[in-house]
Amino acid sequence: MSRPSDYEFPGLENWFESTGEAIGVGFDRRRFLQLMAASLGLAGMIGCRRPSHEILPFARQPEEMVPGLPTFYATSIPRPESSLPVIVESHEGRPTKIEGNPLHPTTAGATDVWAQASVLDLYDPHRAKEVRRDGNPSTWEEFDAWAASHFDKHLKNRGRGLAFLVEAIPSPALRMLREYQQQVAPEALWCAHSPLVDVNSRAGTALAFGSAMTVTWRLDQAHVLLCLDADPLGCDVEMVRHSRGFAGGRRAKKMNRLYVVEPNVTITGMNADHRLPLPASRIVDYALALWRILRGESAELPGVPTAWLTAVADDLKQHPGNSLVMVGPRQPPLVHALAHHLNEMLQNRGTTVEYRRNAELPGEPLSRLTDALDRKQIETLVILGDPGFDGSAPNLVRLNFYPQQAGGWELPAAHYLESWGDTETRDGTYAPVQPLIAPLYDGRTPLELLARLLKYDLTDGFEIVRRSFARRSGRTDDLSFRRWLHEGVWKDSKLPPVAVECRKTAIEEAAAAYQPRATGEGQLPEVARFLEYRTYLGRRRNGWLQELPDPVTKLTWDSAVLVGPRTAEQLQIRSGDLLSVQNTVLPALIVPGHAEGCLSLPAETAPGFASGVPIERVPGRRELAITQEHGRMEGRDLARVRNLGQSPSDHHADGHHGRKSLDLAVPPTFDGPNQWGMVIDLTACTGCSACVIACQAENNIPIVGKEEVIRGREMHWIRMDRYLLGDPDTPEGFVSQPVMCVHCESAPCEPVCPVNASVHSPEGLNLQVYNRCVGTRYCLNNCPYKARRFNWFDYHQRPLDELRLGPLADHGMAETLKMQKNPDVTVRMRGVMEKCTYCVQRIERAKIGAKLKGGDGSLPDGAVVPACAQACPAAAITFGNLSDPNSRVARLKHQDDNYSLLGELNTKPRTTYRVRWRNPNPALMS
Amino acid sequence: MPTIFTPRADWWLRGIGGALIAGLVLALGALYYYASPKFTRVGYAPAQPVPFSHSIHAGRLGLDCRYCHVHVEDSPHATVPPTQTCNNCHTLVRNTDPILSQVREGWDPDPRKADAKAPIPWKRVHRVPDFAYFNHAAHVKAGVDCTSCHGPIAQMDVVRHAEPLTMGWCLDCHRHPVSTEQKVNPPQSCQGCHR
Repeated sequence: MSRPSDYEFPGLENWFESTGEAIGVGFDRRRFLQLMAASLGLAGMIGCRRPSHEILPFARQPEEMVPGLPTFYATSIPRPESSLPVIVESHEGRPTKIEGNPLHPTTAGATDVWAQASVLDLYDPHRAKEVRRDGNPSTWEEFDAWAASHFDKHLKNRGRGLAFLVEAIPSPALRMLREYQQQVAPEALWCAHSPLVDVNSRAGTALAFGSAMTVTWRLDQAHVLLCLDADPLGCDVEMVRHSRGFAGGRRAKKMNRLYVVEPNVTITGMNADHRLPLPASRIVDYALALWRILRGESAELPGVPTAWLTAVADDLKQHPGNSLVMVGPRQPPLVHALAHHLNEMLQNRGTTVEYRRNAELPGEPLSRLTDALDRKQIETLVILGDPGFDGSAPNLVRLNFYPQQAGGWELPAAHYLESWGDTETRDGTYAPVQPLIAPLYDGRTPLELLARLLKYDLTDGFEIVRRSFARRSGRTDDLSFRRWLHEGVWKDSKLPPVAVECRKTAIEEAAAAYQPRATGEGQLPEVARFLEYRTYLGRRRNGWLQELPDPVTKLTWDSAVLVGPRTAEQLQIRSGDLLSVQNTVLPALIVPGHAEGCLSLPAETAPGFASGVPIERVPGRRELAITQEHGRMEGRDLARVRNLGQSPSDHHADGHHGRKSLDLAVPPTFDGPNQWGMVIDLTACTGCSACVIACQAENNIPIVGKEEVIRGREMHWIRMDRYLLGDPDTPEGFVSQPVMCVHCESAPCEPVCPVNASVHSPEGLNLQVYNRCVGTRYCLNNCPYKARRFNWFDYHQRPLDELRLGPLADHGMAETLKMQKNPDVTVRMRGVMEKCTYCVQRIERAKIGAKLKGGDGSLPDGAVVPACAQACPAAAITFGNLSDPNSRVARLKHQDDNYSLLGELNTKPRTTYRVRWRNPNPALMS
Repeated sequence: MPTIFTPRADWWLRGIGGALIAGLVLALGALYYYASPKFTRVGYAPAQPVPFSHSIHAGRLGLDCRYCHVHVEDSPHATVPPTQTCNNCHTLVRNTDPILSQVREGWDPDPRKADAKAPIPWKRVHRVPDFAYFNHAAHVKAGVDCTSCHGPIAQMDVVRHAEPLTMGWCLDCHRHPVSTEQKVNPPQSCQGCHR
């Protein structure tokens, strides 16, 4: 038997090559011929009459539901210390797509990768589906009967021996139940925890101001930004708001400037004008040096160019009130406190940084709980949601999203799309969580379970939220409540920022007490735990997130230990070598731009760093599924990067010694009323890849699995290209460029299609007609942008490990996964080519909608928004009608810095790009 | 030397060859006729769980199509009416008729109980492939009569598939739209129907 990778093409031989047991089992030649004969006969019979289908209307038609038309509901995604208000599209009661809520003041209708992917979790066939007691199936009735008597005992002795561990989610309803718990069971332990809670930031505010505060960065107000190991545009619960603000500042007349000091490359680092790779432990030194310089003292840092201290300090000083220093969760409280003091010295408080009182009731710290568990003081432990901590007690009650096999009572949790609840974003804006669908597996929400366990007078999630709304908003009338549900946010519920003063002496004392780590030769490299972008706020089992190429490393399906090229050489490791660090065995991955002398390990709980950690090579290698291993443009100006003041044009592509080839194409006729086109602003694009997942959710794009990604068969219609600028080992910058079908007016794919499946529409769309396509793949070979994707297998019919089982094996996917599919988009089968359609289903929906409204059927600018443009947190993608000279997209096309990708090929693409402008500091340019 | 072939062998050979060609032509002709939607679809008239007669309701009684197919003007689907629509009249009219027993059992005046009732499993008659997106609302708005595609529905006791609903048949109309009232501009590019 040969290994799967021995064959490049799935021909007859490797029908049986797959991993599964179907290799030759039960398929002798006779059986094969019998089945073939039978199926041929049946195929003939089927031709006579179609299979009978049924139409099942409601007995009683629900109001507002029109079969065939989607409905939209406002809700919000609860997150650690924050939430994201969203609008959810629902088809006949099935939630299919998440969009941002345009009424929310800060996100303005944008979303992030995790929000886009969260709808897939709802339909995950591996969810916890039933109540289990000690691993045996049970029922909610049995649990309720047990809980009624068991919790009675606890409530009678004021909650002694009882502990609640909940996810740290800012929910007024949860706070209300917490207050009730303090009344009825004051001796019970209450712990609100999440691995993503930024403990260092809290401790930093406590050090600087004397009490813990919530910090809000306002990137939209900042002209000069300095990130000290912070990733506000990537792994941050407020990533959408930050990206929006940052992109606004990039586009402003006076372009902002971003300095980043960090060990591993983050999305923020990729967008920096100047980036200094520095091990995590040395960032404290950098922050201290900068703090000293800004206080008028002198400071030096060995190994760091002095310009990185003086020029940055000068730049910050020149923008009082419009600069911003940000610190990430990995850094110790001291660095956070220093940043607060720096921001105060730079008069940024109130403009670029806001402080709010923490609305959460102080729960017990997790250490109290672990102590009590160790001392066997806890008789009953209730774990709700996913607080990122495992504990055991004589009586364990767990509300799980996935089965845990931990013993005790395991209860299925409801997804947020099945839940009633309420949340607050970080600035306090109050948003509802309302269900789009009844719980698929009879799951309950933490609120409902808590209310039952504590014998609260309300047990229905809706009633609890009603009461919580009345308390939070002060309105008891039905209209206000309905308005809140309808709009998805409660207007003007933002908490006012508080004025705080830094305790200078405390910070000075802490700074004086800090002992720099001894650095010397021959030491073990430092190991820093970093937050993985793909699974930061998403679930690890989410296939969309697993197959999303990491914006920096382009790695899919795996976690890896990141290491810089020079350190890798010293340690003699190559990408894919297995390393054992801190009891974890992971493959290494060399990342240009990573700080030397340190390694980055994916964080399992909270991020942090340590030195002197032994690193061992483990025999063996793991093949990594990386979608782009090469970061150079090879002399071509694909993603144009220019410093402010430079010419945006490219002498090479734009007619330098007449390189533009002779145009022999006969263009199709474009006589439609709308001529669609798109502009992607590379200055705004951060590379966050929200568009990739949004497109996947909207257009029924399958995942293909690690093996197929290694073969280069990923199906994403949007490919996020990442290029390194300058020296490939120590890049001076990065650029991300989303590339999807650019809808060429003279499309190379069209003349080569033998069956006319690739054709042009009068509106300028390059159409792929699935029902004509026979899968020759000529179009893919002739596409200079490599924007076409081929269905090598029936990805929608088979689970990933059964793709190669041949035509006679069983077909079938989990029914729930079919429920996510967008009914307005064809689900493609094996052997069909596909690619970006400009969301033609949305174009047609808008056109039919305009026709039904009457009038001349013309569409106003902005009537059609493709899924990618709608999701983009930086609003980098503009789509519209080019034949309307006043449309936004037409005006953008006339900008000087608008250019066609590979324009010298005369493909005349409808999607064009705008130059990525950078704003480097002349004092730092070598 | 004896002859192997008789003088008639040539005749046989030609005859067999001719028969083969004729058979092939016949088979192709049969395939062309019997495998085309004109044969496979037109005339399909499955028995419905409740013998609802369009000829009585739409024909003799003159009910507007939109009384039951309420969303035909705003949705891609014309929508098959909920059981409640039948009972708007049939709680009073022929409310003991045994052929309407499913209609009575499938509904309850109490809304909560009615929600729990099983739907009537109507047999689907008209169906276009999954990759073709037909929109009722757009066609009704453009002034296309229901009978253009569904045939003389008001005279049918059992709904019968009247037109082939093939792409060529759609394009006949999309290429030569006939409208007296308004200027219609039906799409002829693939994106109009295939997404």
